[in-house]
Amino acid sequence: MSQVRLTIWLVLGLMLSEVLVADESEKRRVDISISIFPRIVAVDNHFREKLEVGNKVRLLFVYDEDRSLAESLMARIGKDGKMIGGMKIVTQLASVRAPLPDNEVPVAIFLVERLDDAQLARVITFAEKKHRLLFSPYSGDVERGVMVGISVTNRVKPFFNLQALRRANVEINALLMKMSKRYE
Amino acid sequence: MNKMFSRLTTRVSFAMVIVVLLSMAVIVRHWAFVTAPTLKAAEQTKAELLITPYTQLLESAVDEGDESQLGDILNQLVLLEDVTYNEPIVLSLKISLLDGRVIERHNTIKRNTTPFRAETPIFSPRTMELLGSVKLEYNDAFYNRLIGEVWWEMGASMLMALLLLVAMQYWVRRLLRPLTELSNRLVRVDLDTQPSLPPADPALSTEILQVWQSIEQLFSRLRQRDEALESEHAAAQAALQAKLEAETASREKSQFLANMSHELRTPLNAIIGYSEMLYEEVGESGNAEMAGDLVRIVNSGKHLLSLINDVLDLSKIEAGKMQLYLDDLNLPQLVCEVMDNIEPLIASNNNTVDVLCDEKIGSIHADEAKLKQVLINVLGNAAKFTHNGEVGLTVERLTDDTGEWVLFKVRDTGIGISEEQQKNLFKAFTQADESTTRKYGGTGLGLTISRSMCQLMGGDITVSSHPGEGSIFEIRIPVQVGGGEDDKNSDVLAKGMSESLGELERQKSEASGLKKLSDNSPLVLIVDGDSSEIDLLQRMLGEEGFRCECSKTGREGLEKAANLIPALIILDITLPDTSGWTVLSQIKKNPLLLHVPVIVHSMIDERATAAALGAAGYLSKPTGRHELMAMVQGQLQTSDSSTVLVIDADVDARRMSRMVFENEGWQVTECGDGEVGMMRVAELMPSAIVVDAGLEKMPVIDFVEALREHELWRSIPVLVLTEETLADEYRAALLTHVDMVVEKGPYSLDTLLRRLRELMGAESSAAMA
Repeated sequence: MSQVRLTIWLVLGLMLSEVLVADESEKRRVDISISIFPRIVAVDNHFREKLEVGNKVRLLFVYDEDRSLAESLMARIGKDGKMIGGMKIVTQLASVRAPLPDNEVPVAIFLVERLDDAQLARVITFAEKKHRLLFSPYSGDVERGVMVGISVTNRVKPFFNLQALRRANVEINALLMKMSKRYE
Repeated sequence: MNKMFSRLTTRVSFAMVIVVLLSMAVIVRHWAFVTAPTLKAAEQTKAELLITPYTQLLESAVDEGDESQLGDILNQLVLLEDVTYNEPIVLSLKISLLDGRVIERHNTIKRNTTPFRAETPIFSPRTMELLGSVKLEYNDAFYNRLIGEVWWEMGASMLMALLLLVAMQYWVRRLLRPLTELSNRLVRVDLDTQPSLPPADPALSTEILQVWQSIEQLFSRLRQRDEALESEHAAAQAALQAKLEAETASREKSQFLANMSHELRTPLNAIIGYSEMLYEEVGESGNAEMAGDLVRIVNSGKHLLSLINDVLDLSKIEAGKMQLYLDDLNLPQLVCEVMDNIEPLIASNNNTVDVLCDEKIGSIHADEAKLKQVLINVLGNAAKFTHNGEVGLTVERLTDDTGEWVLFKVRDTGIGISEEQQKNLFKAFTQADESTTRKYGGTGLGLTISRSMCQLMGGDITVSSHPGEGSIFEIRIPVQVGGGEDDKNSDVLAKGMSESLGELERQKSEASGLKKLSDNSPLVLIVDGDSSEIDLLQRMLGEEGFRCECSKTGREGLEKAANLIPALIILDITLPDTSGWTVLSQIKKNPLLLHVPVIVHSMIDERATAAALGAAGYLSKPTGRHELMAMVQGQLQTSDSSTVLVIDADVDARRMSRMVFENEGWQVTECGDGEVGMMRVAELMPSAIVVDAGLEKMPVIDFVEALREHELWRSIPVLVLTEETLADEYRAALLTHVDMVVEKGPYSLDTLLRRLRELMGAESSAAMA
């Protein structure tokens, strides 16, 4: 009986450790992504056309449950008066459970959390409809239809979904595209 | 053996080459598809990792337009050197900016291979805008050298493996060569002569030399064993030869004894027979003196005959040719017959007789003649060695673990036998002592023969005695002596009967031309190769009122039998032209002679063969007058008595008929169907036939029609019994062939019996007339 219990505890322990490791990995991906995200926004060939009134770069952070994470990421990207292409950054928070803001169209959208298929589809549709760059730090999301993410191998590279970009009619700088990983 | 080694070596070599080549292929494949790409990826990673930390420095320098700093960074990178192969790590660095400027640094190393490349974008740290890219060419010298060294190592290893393989093969062959040679020598060794090996080459290895010596030792032991076997074989051959010679001598002795006995008994038979006849004639004329002389001649002849018979019996026993003729014997009757025979001898020495045999003791299944001979011999001895005393016989039934026995205890109050004498009592040609022989006579074979006969029947004789106190001989015989001769004889008889029916068809035409003598006295046909024997039998039978016809050959005997249809045939076995057995079988195959009784009269004791071939009786030569007449008259009475054949499928009905007809003094033979009935008719020539109308295999009408086809059987009265009322037409058809049709009922047997009496009476009258 004690052996069965021990086995159950070991299995549960292993499962927990896997979850923790995965969480840690995703957290790192989010950390890296938040520094890469402004550079990707800047390589949109029509970046300047998408600025809002006052030449501000509006970045939309979409979350599901973890609002605090979204707020911390927003704080980091706007830290020390950072700019993109010399333009001021304006961040905006939106829950995926509520209708996404239709009046103030952002330059790019950042997914704060991993979303389920329905939620992700809503965000992708929104981004494609508005011709805006959609960035997700989470592994596998580019393959699910998100326009850009990161590829972590021996080096961290941008990872583009070319079909999604074409659907959203978003053009990326050719030099960067050549040095990035692409998904057909 | 050599081939096997060669084949083995080739196989082993081939297998080893395959193993080595496969191992090499696995290693090369692993290197080419796993290790080398991994190394390549590792080198690529090193290139990527090298450029990454410098990217931020380069981005700041480019963003700030600080070209000197930019140059320093590039120079620093290009100067980096790998200490393992003393070459620069970076071959070239190239910064391409979006504004068209290009800044680059090169190491002037000529290479034939494509270096590893890493390229990364340069962003402005302030505006995050893309400024350009930096491209790095990473020196692949380390990778190329590593790859080259590994390939060289693998090639060298393969070469070494192949060399080792060749060397190993060489050593294996060298190791096996002496073994191959040894096996070749072993194959050539001639095991039929003197197995040995030539001396081993001293240059051979110690292990091989040891094997060589062991085999030589083995051969040495084989040689010793062969020699021992040869001497044993020679001894066995000599023993076998001696045994064969002894057996031959024994056979020849037995044959000689048998021949001599035959030759002696033939004239002796004439002497005894003629002496008896002379005695009767002289006795009638009243010449007492001559009669006394003739009695002495007869007694001496009989004594001599008994001695010869003993010798003949002994020779048969020794040759293993003594046979048993088993029958159910009524013990009280057997004892009476024996005592009738022996009592005069017992009385002659003024002895009294005491016989104890319960009348309800039952029967024994044994050989009557041999059992009588044993009892007469033992009782005769008791009588001979006892004077003015008592001789007793007690018969008891015993049951023990070994089965059920009959014990004949013969006791006397005679001279007795000492223990020393008892040891030799059952040995051939041995009596108690020489004085006994002189005083009492005899060959000393009687007890030997008696014991052998008892043992042949599964029993034995034992003796207990003290000198002067008499003796007790105990004869133990199993109640059921084994043997299936009776059944075998029945089978042979049945076969002979079946053949007879076939012969009947072929010879039916001959029947009409036959004739019977008109003389009323029974005709006896004597077939014997010995003229004196014929003469003697003829005179004996003639004196008893029989007519005799004689034949000296078998062929003539068969012709006379077929022409005369005698009432009886006396047949010798030793005939000049053919065997008496052939004559007997021919007689029994002829349907006209089938019912004629044949008495085999011979010196050859072959009762079983005679019975199997259908002989009605057997007389052993020489035959006494009384014995002959008893046998002849017995057979004629049997054939003369009226026989009724009852054919009915119902066993109970047959039994009832048998009881009724036997009460009338008729002999009854019964069977269950018409086909067997035809056989019985051919065999017995019955006086009347009573047949049931409901026969299954053969309808009664077919039976009677077949019966009436034969002239000899047309006169046999046939009476039909039926359970159902027959159709008028069928009844009328039956009555054309049969004498009466009776419906079964309370008085049917009475009706049948009255009619049978009438018919049998008429037949007797006809025969008398």
